[in-house]
Amino acid sequence: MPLLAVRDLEAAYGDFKALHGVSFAVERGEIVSIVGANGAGKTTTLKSLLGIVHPTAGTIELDGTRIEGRRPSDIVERGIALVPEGRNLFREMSVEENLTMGAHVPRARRSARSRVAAMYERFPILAERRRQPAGTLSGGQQQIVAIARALMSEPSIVLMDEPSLGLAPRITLEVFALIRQINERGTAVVLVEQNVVQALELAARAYVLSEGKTVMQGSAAEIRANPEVKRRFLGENSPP
Amino acid sequence: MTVVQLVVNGLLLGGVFALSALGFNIIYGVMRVVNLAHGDVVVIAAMVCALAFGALGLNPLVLLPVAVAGGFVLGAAIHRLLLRRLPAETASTEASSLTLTFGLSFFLAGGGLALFGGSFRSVPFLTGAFDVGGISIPQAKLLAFALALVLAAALAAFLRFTAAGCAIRATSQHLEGALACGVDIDRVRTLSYGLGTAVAAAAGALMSMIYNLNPQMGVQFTVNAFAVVVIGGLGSYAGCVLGALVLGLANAFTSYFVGASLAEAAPYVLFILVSLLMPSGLLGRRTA
Ligand SMILES: Nc1ncnc2c1ncn2[C@@H]1O[C@H](COP(=O)(O)OP(=O)(O)OP(=O)(O)O)[C@@H](O)[C@H]1O
Ligand SMILES: [Mg+2]
Repeated sequence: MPLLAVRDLEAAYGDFKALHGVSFAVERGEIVSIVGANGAGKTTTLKSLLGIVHPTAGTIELDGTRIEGRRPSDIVERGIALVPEGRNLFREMSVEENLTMGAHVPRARRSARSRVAAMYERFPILAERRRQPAGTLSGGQQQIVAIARALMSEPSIVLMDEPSLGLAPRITLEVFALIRQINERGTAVVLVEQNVVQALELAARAYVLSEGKTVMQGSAAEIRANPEVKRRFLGENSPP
Repeated sequence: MTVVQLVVNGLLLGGVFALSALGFNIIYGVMRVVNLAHGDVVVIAAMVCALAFGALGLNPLVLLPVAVAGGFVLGAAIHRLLLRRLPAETASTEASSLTLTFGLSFFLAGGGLALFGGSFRSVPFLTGAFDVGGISIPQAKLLAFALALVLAAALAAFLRFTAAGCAIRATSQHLEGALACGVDIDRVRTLSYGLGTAVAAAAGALMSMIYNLNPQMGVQFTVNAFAVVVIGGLGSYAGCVLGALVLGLANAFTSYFVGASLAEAAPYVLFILVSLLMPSGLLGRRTA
C-alpha cells in the first residue's frame, strides 16, 4: 500500500474546473516529482491534498485512510505538510514564531520548544535570525524558514511547491541538497519544480500534469527521456 | 495651561478609544470583516453597566470582567450562528459580511432601545477630580484610562504568548500560510470575533464612566473605531493605539475650540485626511 494514493482528483474554483482527473501515488520515503506547464494545476493539486482547496471528486488516501474533504488542521495532524508556493511566511512574526506555528497541530504542539531547538541545530542561520521578522530575511533564508516550518510537524510526507522559485542558482543548489537530506531521513517528498532537470535528478519517479490531468507517469529516467517532455519542459528541440 | 489640560483630556480619552479600536482591529485582521455592530456592543455594554450600577450598586471593577465574559460569549455565538454560515468564497464574503454586521447593528440598536429605553445613562463612579498643578484630572477618566491600558496589555500578551494568540496573528498575516500550518481557521475566527466583541464590551463598560450614553449612539463608536484603525493603519496594533491617541487629542481640541457637536466630526475629518494623504495609515503595512 502506498503512503499516499490520489485517484481521479477533481477540483474547481467557482465555475472554473482546474483539475479533472489527477492520479498519482507516493511510496514511503520516496521523492516524486510533478511536472507541468504554468496553469496545469500543480499548485491546485497540492492545495487539494492539504484540504485548502476542496476536491469535488476523486479520492485521496493517506496510509490507507481516506482524507479528501477533511480540513487542513486534520490533514496536517495526520502527517502531511506543505511548503507553499511563494512561501506564505508570517512576515511580521519572528523566525521563531514562524517555526513555532509549524508545530501548531496538537500532535506537535507539546514538543514545539524542543523541535524549534532541533531546527536551530540543523539550520544555524535560523538560530542567528530567530528574533528577526521573517519578512526581512533574504529569499533563500525565507525558503529555509518555510521548509523548516513544514518540518516542525514531523510529517511523513512533505509537499514542496516550487521551493527554488526566485532563488539565485547557488541557493537553488542548496535547497535541492536540503530536499535530498530531508528525504534521506525518511520523509517522502512531492516536488513541484520549474527546474525540471534538477527535480528529475532528485526524484525516483515523476508524473506529468497537463490541463488538470495526469497525462504521463514513469521513472524519472523515463520521463526525462520522453521526447515530448524534452521539448516542452527541458528546452531541447531535437534529440542529441 | 489650557493646552496642557486639553492634551491630558485628549490622552485620557484616547486610551479608551484605543481599547475599543483594538477589538475592531482584531476582527478585521483575522476575518477581513468590517464589524459595523461594534459600536452597538459598546453602548449596550455601557447600558447594562449603568443599570447594574444603579440597581445593584456594583463597582465598575466588578462590572468590567462581567462585560468581558458576556461580550465574548455574545461574539462567539454571533460568529457560530451567523457569520460562519456566510458562503466561503473570499470575494463575496467581504460584501455579505458587511451586510450582515449592518443588519446586526440595527438589531442591537433596536433591541437596546426596547430593553433600556432611549434615556441617557452613565455610571457615576468616582466623580471627583485630582488637581495637579492647576490641571484637573477627573478620577473616573483616569481610572478608565488605566483599566483600558491594563486590558490592552493583557490582550497584547495573549496575542503574543499563547498558541491561540499566535494563530490569530498568523491568520491575519497570511491565511493560506496559517492553513498550511494546520490552523483550525474556523476556531480562530470564532475566537477572534469573541475576543473583539469582548473588548468592545469592556470599552463600553469604561465609556459608561466617562459619557452619558443611550442605546442609539452605537454608530458613533463604530465610526470612531473604524477611523482609529484607518488612521493607525489597518491591521496594525501599535497603529491602533497611536491612532486612538491622535483621535482623542483631536476630539479634546475641537470640543474646546469649536464646540462639542463639531468634535463628533473629528473622526470623519481625520479619516478623510489620512485616507487621502497616507492611504496605508500612520503605521500601516504598505501591502495590507
Ligand atoms: N484562486 C483561484 N481562482 C480561480 N482560478 C484559479 C485560482 N488559482 C488557480 N486558478 C486557475 O487554476 C488553474 C491551475 O492553477 P495552478 O495554480 O494550480 O497551476 P500551476 O500548475 O501551479 O501553475 P504555475 O506553474 O503557474 O504555478 C489555472 O488555470 C489558474 O488560472
Ligand atoms: Mg503553482
